[in-house]
Amino acid sequence: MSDCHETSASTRVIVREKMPLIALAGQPNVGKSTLFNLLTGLNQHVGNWPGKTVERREGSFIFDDRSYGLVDLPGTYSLTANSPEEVIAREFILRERPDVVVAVVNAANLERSLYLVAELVALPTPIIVALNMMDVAAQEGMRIEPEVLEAALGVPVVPMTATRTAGTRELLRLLRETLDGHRLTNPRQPEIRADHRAALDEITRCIIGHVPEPYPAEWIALKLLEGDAEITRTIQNALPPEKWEAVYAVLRQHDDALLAVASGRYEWIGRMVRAAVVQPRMGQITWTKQLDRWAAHPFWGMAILAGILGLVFWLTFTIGSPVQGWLDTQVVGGLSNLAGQMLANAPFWLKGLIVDGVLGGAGAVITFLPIMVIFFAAFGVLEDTGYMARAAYVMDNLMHLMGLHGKSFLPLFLGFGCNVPAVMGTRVVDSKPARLLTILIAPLVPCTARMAVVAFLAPAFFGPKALLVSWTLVLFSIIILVLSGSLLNQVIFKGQRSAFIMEMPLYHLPNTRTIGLLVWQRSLSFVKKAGTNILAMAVVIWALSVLPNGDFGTSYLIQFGKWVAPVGRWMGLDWRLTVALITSFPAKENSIATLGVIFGSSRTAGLAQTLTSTYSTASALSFLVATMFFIPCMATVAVIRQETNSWGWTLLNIGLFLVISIVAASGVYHLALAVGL
Amino acid sequence: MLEQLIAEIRAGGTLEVNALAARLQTSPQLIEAMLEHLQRNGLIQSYVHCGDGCQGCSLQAACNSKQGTTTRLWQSSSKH
Amino acid sequence: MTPKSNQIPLADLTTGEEGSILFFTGGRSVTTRLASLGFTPGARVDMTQNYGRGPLIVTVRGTQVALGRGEAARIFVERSAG
Repeated sequence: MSDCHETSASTRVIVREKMPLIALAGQPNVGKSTLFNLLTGLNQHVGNWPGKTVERREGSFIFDDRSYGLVDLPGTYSLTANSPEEVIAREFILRERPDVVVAVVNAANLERSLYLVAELVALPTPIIVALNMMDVAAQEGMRIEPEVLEAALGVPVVPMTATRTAGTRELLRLLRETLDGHRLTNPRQPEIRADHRAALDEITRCIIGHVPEPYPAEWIALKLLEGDAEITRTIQNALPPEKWEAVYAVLRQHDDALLAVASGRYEWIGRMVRAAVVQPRMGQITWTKQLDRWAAHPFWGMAILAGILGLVFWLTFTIGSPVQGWLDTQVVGGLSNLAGQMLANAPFWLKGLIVDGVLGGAGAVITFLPIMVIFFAAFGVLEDTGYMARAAYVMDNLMHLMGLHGKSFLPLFLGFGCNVPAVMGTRVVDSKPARLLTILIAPLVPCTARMAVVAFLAPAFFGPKALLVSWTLVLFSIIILVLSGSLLNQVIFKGQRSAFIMEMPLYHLPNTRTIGLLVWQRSLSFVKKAGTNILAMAVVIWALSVLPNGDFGTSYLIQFGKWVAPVGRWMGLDWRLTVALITSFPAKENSIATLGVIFGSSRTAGLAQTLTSTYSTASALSFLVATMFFIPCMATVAVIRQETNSWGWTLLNIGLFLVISIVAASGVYHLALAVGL
Repeated sequence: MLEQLIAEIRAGGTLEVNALAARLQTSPQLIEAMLEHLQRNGLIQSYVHCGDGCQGCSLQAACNSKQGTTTRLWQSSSKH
Repeated sequence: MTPKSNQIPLADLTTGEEGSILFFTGGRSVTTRLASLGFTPGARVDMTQNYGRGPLIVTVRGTQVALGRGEAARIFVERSAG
């Protein structure tokens, strides 16, 4: 390499003694330097490009007894005069005429890195595309066919992974063949849009014969259209004034040509990528198709779904409930006792606030966590393996009853855990009416909090039949859900149907990290959102139960309960059950705590017996039904407001649930009385 | 294609890379590349990287807006 | 005009049959969403699962997509021979 010429940068000419010169071009971060180091090893030196602070690296290497010179061009996104690097790169290619330009592209991001290639193919130097980072592309599940890309581009393409030295020999062989003239390159050029094509031709006509060496006229015309400042200056000086006037007139008319030229290049890139990239992994596809024969079968798919749902609930309650009970009696109960002892001499209100208010509220949150965690984990596994899309698919027919489609099933299913993520999860539903409808009916799905109330009361009232009663209540909820859904769809949404279009992801093994993260984030947000609400409301309810006189019997809470008691009477509920129902608004499980406060035992142990001896079976059944359908909990109402962005829909939802719970509970109460319960 | 992309950005509202890709009959990856290009050339400006609204949602994989869930704000510059 | 006998709704392809997309009928928003999943005129589709009722699964550009029967009835394809 002869750097010793003392000529100025613009007229510099390199004297070569038969050693072919190769230039490495590429965008930043495509592994160009890795490839340079790999080829040259220690035979490299680093300097600066003349007059610039940009680093110039060059070196040489020997392949099959022949030496080659290699220049590492600065990393550039394009060849427009946006930066000194871009000017250096294009001036080098045009003036020093390397024998071959190796364009390094990132196989994992062809859309971006082919832009430079789109510019390089317009230059007269032969190019070879080094399709680098094939390993990254493979990791991302992309399959690229280099020979198809080669055919589409019209220039040689060599796949490689420079970091693992894979593909270098092929690159060198290709270089030699190209230099020997055994590889004819015939690059396909990006096209400029038709309305600018004429302008390009006219400019080319005007400047031809006046373009200074070594620039090709058509390339100059393109750069003029792109508004390249440096080329514009050069040409303005080179052209006779009247010719420049003509060129300038065309340019002024097409001042938006910059985008048209770049657009043409992106369209060219789009064509190349479409041709060369085969989407994903064949093995996984066949596997997925095999599994889908069962999981997406109209009958077996439903059976599998039912089995999986059963398993999830079984897991949630067999593992979750004992942990929940242990937390309740040992941790929360222990803390309450401890606080009670420590505050024995404190004023009564402080003791009440801490023990009944704060610990009562926090306890409710803590005891719910095990069930939530298990449910979120089970849901996470189903989601991460790709199964959830199949569940939505097989449920599509059933969801049509409500004018919804399969996708709405996903958030509804989430509702079995907690209605809050269910309402937020309706974001997966694409059409607005369908989403609103799903939000409206989502709280009809019995969440774990309501199931906990049922799990507490049902055994007390129904003994061995508790399980049957619980499942009947769940089934009843689902029937009400379908009925309300189809009714609302007819009345409010006029029977609209939304489109069901859903990508079915390929099955893969669940990733524990992903699921762990999901459980952590969801649980954290549950504790934050629900926790603060429940805690605050527990304190408020406690305050209402002692104000104004410090006496429970005359408190505001009791007064309010007695005031609304007539409505409760329709459902067979006395004022105490009515108050309990109302206090389930901040959090469903509050109703048990309220009954505990009302019946004067903060420990729930004795409560079950007290309740059984106080209420008839009909009233108990009615209370359970009312609890299932009462106004969604405060946290759910808050997210409904947030997700619908409308108080109207939120109030409609509250009204709807109030009506459903009163009607259903009264109906059940009178029916139970009629059959003699 | 770039002109259409800029027109969509100028029109404002919420744009989603997948939907843009569909409207311009191309791939989301190409849209990303073009957005980067426009930003590099100062034709659009990118604002804050907002938080991810869907973070932690277990339905993310089925959600339309799953790709590029990190919300970005673009504005077309007065410079042309 | 070309004979229309080859233009059939996508929903009419049976499991295992292939076709290429001709055109869409119906709303712009649906067409847009279909396009974003790779359903563009000329694209090859492969019927992966069609039980004659309910939703169906097609493979387009290597991606499996579930479609409601209603949506599949609005996509017209040309059945590939063989």
